[in-house]
Amino acid sequence: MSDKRVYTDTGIGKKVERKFDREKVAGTLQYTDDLPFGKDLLYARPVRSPIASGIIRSIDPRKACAIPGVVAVITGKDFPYRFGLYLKDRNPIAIDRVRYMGEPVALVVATTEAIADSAIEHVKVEYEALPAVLDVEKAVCDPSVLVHPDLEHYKRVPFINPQPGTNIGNWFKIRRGDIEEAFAQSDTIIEEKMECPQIAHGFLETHCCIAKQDIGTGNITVWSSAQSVFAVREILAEGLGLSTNAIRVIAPPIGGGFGGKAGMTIEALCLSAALHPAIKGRPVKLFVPREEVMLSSWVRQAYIATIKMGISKEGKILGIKNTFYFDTGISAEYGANPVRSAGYTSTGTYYIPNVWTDSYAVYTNKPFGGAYRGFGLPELMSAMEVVIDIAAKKIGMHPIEFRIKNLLQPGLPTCTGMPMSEHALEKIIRKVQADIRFDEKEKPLREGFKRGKGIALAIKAPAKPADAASSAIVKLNVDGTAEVMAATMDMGQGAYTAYAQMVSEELGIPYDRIRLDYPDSATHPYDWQTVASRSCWAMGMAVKEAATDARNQLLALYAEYWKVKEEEIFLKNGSVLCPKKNLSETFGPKLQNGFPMPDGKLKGGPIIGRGRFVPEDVVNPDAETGQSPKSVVHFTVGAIAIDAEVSERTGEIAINRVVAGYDVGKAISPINIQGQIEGGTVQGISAALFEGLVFDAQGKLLNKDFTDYKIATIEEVDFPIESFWEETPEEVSPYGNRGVGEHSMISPAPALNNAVYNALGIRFHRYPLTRERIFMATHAKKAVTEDCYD
Amino acid sequence: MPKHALSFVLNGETVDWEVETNATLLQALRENGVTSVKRGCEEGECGACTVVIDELAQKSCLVLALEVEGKSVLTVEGLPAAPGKLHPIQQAFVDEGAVQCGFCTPGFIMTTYAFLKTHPNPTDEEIRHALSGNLCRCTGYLSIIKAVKTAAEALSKPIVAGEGGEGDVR
Amino acid sequence: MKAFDLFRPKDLFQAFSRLELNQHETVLKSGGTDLLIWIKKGLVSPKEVVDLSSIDSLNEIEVKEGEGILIGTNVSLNRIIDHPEMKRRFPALIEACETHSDAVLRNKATLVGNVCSAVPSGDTIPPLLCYEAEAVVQTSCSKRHLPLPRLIIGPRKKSISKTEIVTHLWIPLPKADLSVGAYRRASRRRALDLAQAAVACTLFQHRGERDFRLAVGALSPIPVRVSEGERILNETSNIDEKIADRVADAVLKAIQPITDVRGSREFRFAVTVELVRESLSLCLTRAKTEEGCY
Repeated sequence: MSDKRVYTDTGIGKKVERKFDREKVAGTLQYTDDLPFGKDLLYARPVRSPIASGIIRSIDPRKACAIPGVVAVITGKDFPYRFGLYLKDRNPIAIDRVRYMGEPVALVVATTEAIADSAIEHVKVEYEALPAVLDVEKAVCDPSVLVHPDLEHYKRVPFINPQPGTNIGNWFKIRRGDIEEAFAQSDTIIEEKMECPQIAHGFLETHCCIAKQDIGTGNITVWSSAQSVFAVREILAEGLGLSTNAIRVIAPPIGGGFGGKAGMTIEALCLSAALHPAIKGRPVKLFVPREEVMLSSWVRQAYIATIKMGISKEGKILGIKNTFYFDTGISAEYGANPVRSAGYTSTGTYYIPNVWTDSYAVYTNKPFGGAYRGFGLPELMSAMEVVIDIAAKKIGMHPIEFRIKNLLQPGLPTCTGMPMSEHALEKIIRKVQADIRFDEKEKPLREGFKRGKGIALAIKAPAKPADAASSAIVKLNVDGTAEVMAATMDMGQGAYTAYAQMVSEELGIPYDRIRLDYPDSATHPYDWQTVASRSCWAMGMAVKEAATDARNQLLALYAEYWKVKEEEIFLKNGSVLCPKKNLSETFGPKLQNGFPMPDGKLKGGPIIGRGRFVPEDVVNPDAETGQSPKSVVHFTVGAIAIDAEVSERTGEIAINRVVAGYDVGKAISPINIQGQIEGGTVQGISAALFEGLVFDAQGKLLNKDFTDYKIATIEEVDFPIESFWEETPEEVSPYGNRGVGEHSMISPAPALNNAVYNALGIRFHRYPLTRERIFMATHAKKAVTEDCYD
Repeated sequence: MPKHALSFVLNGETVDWEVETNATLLQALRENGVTSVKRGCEEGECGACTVVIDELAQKSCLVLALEVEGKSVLTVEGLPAAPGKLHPIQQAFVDEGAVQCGFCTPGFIMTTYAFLKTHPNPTDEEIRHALSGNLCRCTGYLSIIKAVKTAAEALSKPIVAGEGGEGDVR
Repeated sequence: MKAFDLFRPKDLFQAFSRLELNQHETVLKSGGTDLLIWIKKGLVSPKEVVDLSSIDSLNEIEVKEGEGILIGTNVSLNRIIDHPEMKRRFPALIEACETHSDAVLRNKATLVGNVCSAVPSGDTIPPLLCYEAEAVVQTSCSKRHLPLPRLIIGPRKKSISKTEIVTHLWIPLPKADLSVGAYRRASRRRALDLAQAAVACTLFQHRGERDFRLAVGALSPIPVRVSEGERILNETSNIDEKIADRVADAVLKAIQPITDVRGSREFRFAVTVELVRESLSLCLTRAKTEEGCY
């Protein structure tokens, strides 16, 4: 970048050793559960509801309290606060009423984990069972069982639209053009139904939180496996009516997030103990064992889509009518927003002039839905990209030509009316088509298998409030090293690596001399959340600005010190040079202690660069039409194709090859982009093959641990993933880059579904595509010939 | 609950601990500050607590602490030859992008360590069989397979004197 | 995990003395990969665990030429898999061991432990039924051989008393020129999963005589031999698809699969037919292609 006059070998696009990998392989990186708190530490364990819906008649903690080592038993009435990111509908401990099986009804605090664990069995709770509603379609139609009778009283942000008196926690609408007229003019109409179950994030580190109240000030410190320290701080402060600076949130490294540690998860529950008078300022730890993860925090919402599409004889999609039911369980506090996200992307990667979309968050008596990698888009595209294939077949068009004919080309309006920005999706589709040899019918590699290929496109915008802001600080040290304060959680995606590369790019400081640390709300400047594939972009803007600010300060000081023009100064690999005057020195103490200027005075002092960012022009979609001149900051698009084969005899799916490409704008850290594509692809394939929460008729979760909630092991990944990316620069972006963390997870499932159809001629309308489901479709007494809804 | 004396060799050094009879090796290690072993599921399904006991990889959540009396236990902390000098397997995981969140990584490295002792030149298929009890949700596994192969190659090279080489403490 | 005392005997004598002292509150452990999970989940709540893994004498695989193989309680599944004699003589058992859990857990999980856990889906039990394995059951003053169908009497239930220990498994060596076998199962995932349905089929050939054996797992409260299926196979010289279907029918009559989170009853019935065909066909192919041993 010669205009900046900065040279570095470790800047944007370079291969570098990822930050914190050394600590990770050495086992020295301390996650929340690894932090030492000494003998003072107390342990909390929740008592959980054994019924899905009912009144709490009484809670008798006396027997538990009498156990030596039990310090307190806390009930909902001791902690009558409601929390939520977008809609305050969640009590950490149930009050009067339980809404799902597994809901905390009391919290036992004891001196050891073992005592707490055994004491929960001695808290006697009497319930009066009420009817539960578990089926999402029933919950929508039938208001006789309301999960939240008090919905109208819950606080919410303005862009969430709950329907009191029903089980609808949010309703997002798109109304554009005339849908009935579009159908009337169509030559072909199709209507299809697709379903995805609730799924779990399956991160390896379960949730863990330690909370402590200072008995001198009343101030609170929370250490938590959280993606976003400031979101936790704000949600806690708002819920408790405290000022934000009374709460300090520290997030140690987390062992995977995928959205499951976004917003606030278990922190309020842990705080209910730390704030209890009996605790007297001791730290309280709440560790969630694996079998309680899905009962303690988000799962991905289940999804039922009905998509009706009208198509002209030329193969143009004239109109689309969507009904999406997201099963958000007992809370829509976060789940309300994936509903919007799917809603305002509800024409997928296509331009469709007439759109009618109703996207609902529906309450049921099940564990609650929330953020999950892809945020509504994997659900949407698991349906949309299958429907597109069905439509193409129905009108006799090649599935890829049909896609390209209707593609949301740059400049065309998205379903919210904003013009689509520049992208290379068509080029990506053609590359994926060629590399997977889409049009070549190849022989199966395994005896008794049938081979098929499927493609699916992906699209997603960062889903967030219009005013999600970020800030960063770059500090220069005495020896020319730098520290970057950016409150992004590096949960493996490699954000700190990318930021260090950015700072290296702007200041010419070698990458290994740049340090970052995990977020602490007391020391780091504000960042909204580490979600939405936004960090490298939004926080990247702030980091770049902070580094540029530091550089400008440094250049001004050197210009004065050397008596040269700023334009005559160069920064190179940790040194500063002025070739014109043949001056050079390595970065050193002047950066911290000031410059002895020609006038004999010291000037400067520690150089601290400051950067901040908030997108300027995002307008929340109109409540009635969903239209907005700029509903989101940008879209990242891509395509995936899967070459798979299926055994009709055993129901097994074997994958031969995956090709996936995304338009990343600019690759900051190639190693991380490849990691995101490979990881998200396998997570998506795992969801497609295995994953779904299973409940019995009473609402009991039957597969709550890894014994029965199966995720892909290394044995499943016996195929190559050929990943690539295009770089169509994003206009408002630090380096033209845009988010890609979630996108690889969006469309593996529909691509696989399409491949299975191509192989077997059977269309599966429900995920996952388990071996049993495929086996039964091919073996059933009345073998399925075309559509399988089971 | 009375505690019992436990003496074993941890990462090359004899340790004497007091443990409860029902403590798993995972719990005992963590309580004594060896936190590279992670509690990911505590029922043998995830492998995040894998250690090497007398040459064999074991999931420490399914080993009682008292079972390792007199035995030799190796965790990932015991692998570097010196501070900053990673074991070739650790280095390969870093170099191949086989680490993301890092929570599963110590377990994968210990399984790999025991595996490469008996399979110095493994095929992809052998690697998949050997590592199928370790879950990773971040990487999609392909980079892990690559790392194991890279590590195998590095370990098969003769150790140059003074270069440290494999930091096997036993 | 609930508290319990742990007793780690040095030899069988110490173990028996302990059992006789505390018999009603004690459970035995070898590898412990099932037991520790059961305790954690509250399925069993022993006051004391007697850990046989501390008894070195139970670590052996002993081949008694012409008679059988004696496998100590502490022999891990990986040691069974790696044992050349076991592989040569009991191929269906090896195949079952290889599908059990994963390569790391098999360092800990033991063959005798898998039998004694007596779960319906225990992978090694169907092939051991085919090989007519016997549990060597000892007390401080007695020793008897108990065929597995008499040892395992229900899900996680054994017939032996609290003072008895299954110290070994005895697998007799039948007179045969050739031993082939197959273990085929359905599971949700390739590795580290429990069987939804499983079929073991073994074939011994001796001087032209064929002896087929067939057993199933995860399809009834306890794994069972299907003698009617064996009869059909052993009465037929030319096994074709029709015969295979008759065998599958016989198997379906012998099972009572359930619906649970791992699979539906309907699926288990349907997939069993495939597994029977597959294991039978593998057996026949292997009989043709594999060099005769024994």
